[in-house]
Amino acid sequence: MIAIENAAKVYDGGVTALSGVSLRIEKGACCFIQGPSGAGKTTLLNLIYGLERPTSGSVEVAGINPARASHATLQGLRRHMGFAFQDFKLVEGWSAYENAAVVLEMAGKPRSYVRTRVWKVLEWVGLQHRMYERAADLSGGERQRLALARAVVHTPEIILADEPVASMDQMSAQVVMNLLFRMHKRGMTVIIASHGRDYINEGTSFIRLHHGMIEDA
Amino acid sequence: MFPIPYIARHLRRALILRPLSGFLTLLACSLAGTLLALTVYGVDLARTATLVPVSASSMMVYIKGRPSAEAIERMRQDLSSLPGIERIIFIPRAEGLKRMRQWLGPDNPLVADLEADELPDALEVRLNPNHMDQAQTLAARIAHLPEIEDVRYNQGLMGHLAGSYQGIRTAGIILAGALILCLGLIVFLTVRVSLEGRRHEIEILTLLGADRLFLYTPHIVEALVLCIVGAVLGCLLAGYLVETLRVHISILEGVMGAFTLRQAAVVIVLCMLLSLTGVGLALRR
Repeated sequence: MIAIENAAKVYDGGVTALSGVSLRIEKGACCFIQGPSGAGKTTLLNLIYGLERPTSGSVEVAGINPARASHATLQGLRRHMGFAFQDFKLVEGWSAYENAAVVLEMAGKPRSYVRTRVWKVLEWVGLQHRMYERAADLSGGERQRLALARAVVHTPEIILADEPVASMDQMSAQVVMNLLFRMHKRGMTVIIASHGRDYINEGTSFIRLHHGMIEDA
Repeated sequence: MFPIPYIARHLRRALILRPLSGFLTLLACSLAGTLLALTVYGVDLARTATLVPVSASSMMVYIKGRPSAEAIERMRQDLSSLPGIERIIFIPRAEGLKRMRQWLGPDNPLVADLEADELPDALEVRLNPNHMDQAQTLAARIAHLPEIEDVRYNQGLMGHLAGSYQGIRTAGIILAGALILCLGLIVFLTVRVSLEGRRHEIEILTLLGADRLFLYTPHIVEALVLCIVGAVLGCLLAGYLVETLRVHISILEGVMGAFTLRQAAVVIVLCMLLSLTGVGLALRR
């Protein structure tokens, strides 16, 4: 479960990204965080993932406060989450396979399992034919799909996706959203930040952020 | 569990992306390994020399005139009281002549017509191996005794080596220390360069939840591989050099032993330890 209590984030220079945000996301839920650019969606995901600390208020993920956790605890928590970053954060010199496999290798999975699992997930996102291409040689949409594949390959308990379909055509976007909804059906908690409302469907909760505050939920 | 495929990929990538620097680092490690191996060999050779009894750790003390048995016994007791002396053997002049004929050959003109009475009686003084460095002082003290005609000691290369053991050992320790420092610096700089090259990758893996062991094991393995391969190549080169010296300089053949596996093991273990130290320091920074 994710619990955020009155969280605020003010960056150096006085820019307020979040202000008094409180929300609870139950285990196994699918939550859509919607809002225009600059609404604070990415900041909210970063607080949950422990990439940033709230200026005030608190964030708890599975009983752990990422802002106060030790390095080892935070890394352990992150290994139970998958984050498809808006700017992908792929290792450009590595192949698509290596980028996805490294998460499983971190978890100490055997080589045969890694190979099978990565192949399957890359097939889900339509990248199996480009498995041995360097990430730098993939198109924007392909890189985004690869980032998502890396986020789900280790079947994490929580998946965070920041604008997961931003650089995709309609068909690829549908494939990616279907994958995220499939992960949700398998019991994973899925949190999707997006500026559009196109893919919100039944069974997903919805939060609208505006100027760092929850406007509608 | 070690992420073996990840480590293997890292090593392969390091070889592909930085072949020249990898080769130069290996060359530097091998040369330092060779020098370290030769240092270990040199110190070991000097230590061995102190254990060779006749040539290195004994001196011949020639007695004036024709002393009585009591006088010889008194002399033996006087010499026994000096520090660093292990054993004293009386060599009568007839025995001395016999030995000379054995060494030089019975037909040698120097000894063919020689009579035993023309030679002095002598005492063979065996020195304690731990006091080899004091042989010169001891010889001077014995030579000053009134009953003594002459003192001869430290014959041959092994004798000189044995006499200089303490100095050789100290120089060896200093040289080995300097080489270890050089190797440590090579490893340190190699790991730093490698870390710098992987900075972006490490940042991303940290974001994904990688722990320190996962991030840094490839560097530890890379440093160990470099140092072990360098040490092995260094030992092979040192062994070849020693063998070449033994074969081509005949006087050394009987003196120098081959470069042994035990010496190689010492060099490899030293290199492994210092590679771990170097990588540890590089990662701490």
